[in-house]
Amino acid sequence: MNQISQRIEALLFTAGEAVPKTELQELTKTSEGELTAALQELEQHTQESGLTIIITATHVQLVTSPNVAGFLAQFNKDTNHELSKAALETLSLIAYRGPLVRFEIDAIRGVDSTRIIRQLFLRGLVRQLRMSSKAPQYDVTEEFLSHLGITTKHELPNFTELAAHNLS
Amino acid sequence: MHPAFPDVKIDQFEGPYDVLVELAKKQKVNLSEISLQKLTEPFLIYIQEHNIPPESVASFIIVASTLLLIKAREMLPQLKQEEEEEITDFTQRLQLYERYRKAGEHFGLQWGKAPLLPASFFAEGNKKATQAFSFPAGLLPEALADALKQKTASIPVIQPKAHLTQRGKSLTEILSLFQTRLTTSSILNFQESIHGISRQEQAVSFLAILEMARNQEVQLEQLEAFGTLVVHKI
Repeated sequence: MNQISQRIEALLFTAGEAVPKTELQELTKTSEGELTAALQELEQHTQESGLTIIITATHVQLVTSPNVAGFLAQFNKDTNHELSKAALETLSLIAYRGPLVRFEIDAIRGVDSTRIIRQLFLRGLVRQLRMSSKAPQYDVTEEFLSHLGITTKHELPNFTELAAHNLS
Repeated sequence: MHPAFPDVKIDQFEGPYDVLVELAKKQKVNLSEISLQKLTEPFLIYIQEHNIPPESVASFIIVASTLLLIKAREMLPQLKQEEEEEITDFTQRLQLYERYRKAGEHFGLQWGKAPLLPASFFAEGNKKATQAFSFPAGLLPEALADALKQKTASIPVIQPKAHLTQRGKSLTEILSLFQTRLTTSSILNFQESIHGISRQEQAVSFLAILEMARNQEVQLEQLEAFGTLVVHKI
């Protein structure tokens, strides 16, 4: 593993939570391309390990690997709060089609989604990406991916098909 | 002992598409334009029987009107060319919705089954501590009230753009008005009976006689376009 990857791993470990990519770039003085390459190397490196990294459009987080998820689940007494139907379908739209604006979510759901997006936001499952002066876009968080036991949203079932914006 | 709190369940209300998909499932039909006709009636019944929250009423009405349009087109072939785009758009969106909804159901099955855990997840006292909001220690209620007052004072007062108008008579009111009138005479001149009332009430009156004609309470006679409309009691 090269020096940048090592440093990033250390930063992620000490942070203990999701770290914005921009912050990692700043701290390791790397470009966006260098960071992506370093994250790729780190991901490769963790394949043999009990840890892995979750990567979203904006954040990176060091978490336990899917290989040990079943093992760890037995110690997890944290009963999961179930998600409502409205929450699931809204998350589905944001996960596959995100980042996207609320208008698009409303259009496909056929109903105003302000309240449900707010609830998902408060539960840390979606985040707002602010594009200067434009309507905020929404995307799923590491928290969302970790609950599903996956490290990127590309692992979602039928991702390529459902992420295509012009579904036939 | 704590006083018993009512068991309040705050459930996110499901939208009109969700209702349609559920109805389609129940009737074992797909969401094509042809099948949607069969869902018009159940959908309208659903709206009547459920207390739909005000913020969702508009979206339910849009769907109801589109369903009625689909049905009308089927019954009146000359309407076939009308609103083609709107209906295609509607059925496509509905099918799109159904696909993401299905994908979401999969999330529900997998949710929390084998989560990837962050650092210190099992650490004592550290669990999700950052997620909850708590008021700073020693915060006085007065300080909170002051802050709130200051904040609300800085919000500009919005002058409503819409203005209220006096409510006209409702359809049922006008309907019974015509019915009483028709008990005394068996023929009415429509133009005469609506003379002098507001445009809105005139429109409602027109709807009222159409409704009566539909119920076969009256027969309508008009010899030429814009001519005198005579209402005959049956």
